[in-house]
Amino acid sequence: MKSANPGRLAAPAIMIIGGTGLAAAVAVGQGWEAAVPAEALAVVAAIGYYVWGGRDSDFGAMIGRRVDERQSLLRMRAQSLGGLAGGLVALIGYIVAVALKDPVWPFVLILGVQAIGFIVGLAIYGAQQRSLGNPFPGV
Amino acid sequence: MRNRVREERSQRGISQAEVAAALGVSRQTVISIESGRYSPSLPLAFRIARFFDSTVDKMFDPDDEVDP
Repeated sequence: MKSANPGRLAAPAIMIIGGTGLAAAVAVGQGWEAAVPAEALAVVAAIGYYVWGGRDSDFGAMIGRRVDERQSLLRMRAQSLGGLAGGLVALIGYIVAVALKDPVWPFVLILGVQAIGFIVGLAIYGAQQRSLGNPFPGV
Repeated sequence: MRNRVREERSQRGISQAEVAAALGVSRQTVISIESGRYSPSLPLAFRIARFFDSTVDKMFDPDDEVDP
């Protein structure tokens, strides 16, 4: 399933834009000498991402934004696991920060965003499911 | 869930890539379905059945698990 896919360019473009923003921040803080490698890294990563997105594999399909239903499910499960791991680490960080009397707000922020995201996700996707109806009328 | 995708495809002498293109899914997904590692959604199951001029209940057997 290798076909022209404009979506394949989206992630690399975002990487270059984000990398350029980061490089600009580095340039302001540390000078142009430090910014050049940061920009070069962003460009190389974006090119690598684009090339990988054209590969005939599950990961290539995910990167290239041409997933089918199984790959979409696979991606959702992987994202879910990543989110769960991030939440667990944030919780551990919160407990450690409390014990050490360090600032806890970064961990509270992460956990809060995760909780709100979960609730909003339920509301959005639950509503979408209701509106889908029967995909096979007459069957 | 056991299915007849591999048998039907072999009988017709078509490749996994051709089936994938016709169904609008990846070759990896056809491989996963054939091996029983992935059970397709109802819409995809209907597309598979139609592609092979069959029916969903003839193509898929939910009571028969594939040996690992």
